[in-house]
Amino acid sequence: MTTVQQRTPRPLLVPAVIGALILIAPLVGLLQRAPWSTLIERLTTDAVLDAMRVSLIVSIGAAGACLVFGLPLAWVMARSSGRGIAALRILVLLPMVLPPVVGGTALLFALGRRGLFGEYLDRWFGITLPFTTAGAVVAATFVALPFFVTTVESALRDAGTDLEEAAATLGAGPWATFVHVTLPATRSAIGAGLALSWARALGEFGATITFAGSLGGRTRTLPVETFLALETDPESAVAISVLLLAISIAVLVLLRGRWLQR
Amino acid sequence: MRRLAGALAALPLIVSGCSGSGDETTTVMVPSSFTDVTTDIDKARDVEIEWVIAGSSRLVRQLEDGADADLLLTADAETMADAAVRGLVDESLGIVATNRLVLALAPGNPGGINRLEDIARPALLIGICASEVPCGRLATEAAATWDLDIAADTEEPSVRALALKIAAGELDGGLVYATDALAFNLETIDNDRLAVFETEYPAAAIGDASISFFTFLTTSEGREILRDRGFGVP
Repeated sequence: MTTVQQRTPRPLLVPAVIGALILIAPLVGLLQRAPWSTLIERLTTDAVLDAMRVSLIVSIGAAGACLVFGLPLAWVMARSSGRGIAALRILVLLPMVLPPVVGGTALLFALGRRGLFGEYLDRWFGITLPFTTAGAVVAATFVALPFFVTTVESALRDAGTDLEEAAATLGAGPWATFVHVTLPATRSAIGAGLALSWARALGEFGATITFAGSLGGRTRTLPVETFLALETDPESAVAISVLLLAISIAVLVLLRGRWLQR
Repeated sequence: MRRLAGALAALPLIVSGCSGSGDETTTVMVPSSFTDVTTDIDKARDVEIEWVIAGSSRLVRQLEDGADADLLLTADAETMADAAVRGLVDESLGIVATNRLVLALAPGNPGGINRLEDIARPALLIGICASEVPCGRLATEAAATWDLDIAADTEEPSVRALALKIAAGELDGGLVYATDALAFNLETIDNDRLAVFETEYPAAAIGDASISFFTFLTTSEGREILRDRGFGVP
């Protein structure tokens, strides 16, 4: 624990409180509207259970894709330098700030049936991604990947190359060094990256509905179900929101060792 | 400043608590399918109107959360009835326009759709609106009447989003409103069995504000605008 070393300057106090309120007020608003007495009923309807199943498949699939593709990408970015890498770093961060609906539209134009690459996926392999669970995984991966890559990349940089160089001096090949030295050293960052990217994928809405559409049991995830429920059944929408909020908080509490204990 | 005021009026949180509009600007809430009509009306008239455009049920939610408006237009009678039951509107003004379902086809008709029954073929990529929004309710009702099991690959949250995906060729076809098919220049299958699935756009006044906008829509000029955008007029 750190101790307060100086008194907070007065001009900072009021804006700081307002800043905290901007973040906290919406959560309080949500919780006070939650239908606590019927929460379990509302979260166990067929539609919501279907959405939970789709959300689990899609978010775990996306986290898996982040591990398989993001880990090598993070390694390349951490161990290389140059202008190309600097540009790549900006591109990797882009989905974090891009409106997800823009990402979904871009995915549609790239991987849709009439898209730049999607046309060949369709013609050569008979694969059409839009309106499939796989398409929802692709959309979720697009928005979740930066969270994984940046977490792991910074850990790889912090770990440095001393151990890897020592291993190489002792005769270990690049792959053996990666598996036996680099991976164990960044294990906790990989875990944190997985948890963060999973949570982001679970909350994905804009890119998913734009690229993969919305069909119960196939592409209708919990956030999409929430959005639709708002039209006719706001209380159920709030119930699902409370569930997603609880999961998000759980993930952050799980990761508190990395970000909250400074 | 007026534009700013209009933008703020769309944010229910900010305007909640404000009293009724005392100025001369009329605020009109219209459903998303009226988007193109609003630009046409602005061009045709000198009067400044603040438009609030959103899905019908969202408009009602905004009113409930305290948004300020003089007139409400919804894309179906059900949503308007809901607003009336909650006491959010004061005087019913009648039906302004009608819209109907059509089966819109992707450019070039990649699915080779030539009759209504094709929407039950699982091999095709078919879209409808989600049952939570008016166009989806209408599609569900139609499917039940035709005894057709629509092989939907997506149930979109708005008719515009659905029409866009058909226009982009990502879907082979889907049930949209005639106005949306027209807006995206889509070829349609439009027969008697479809035409019976019509939706009415009722208007209602809020408070005792001016209803000149409503009156305009019933003039021949107003009806012309509606017809040009694919609406039916009562």
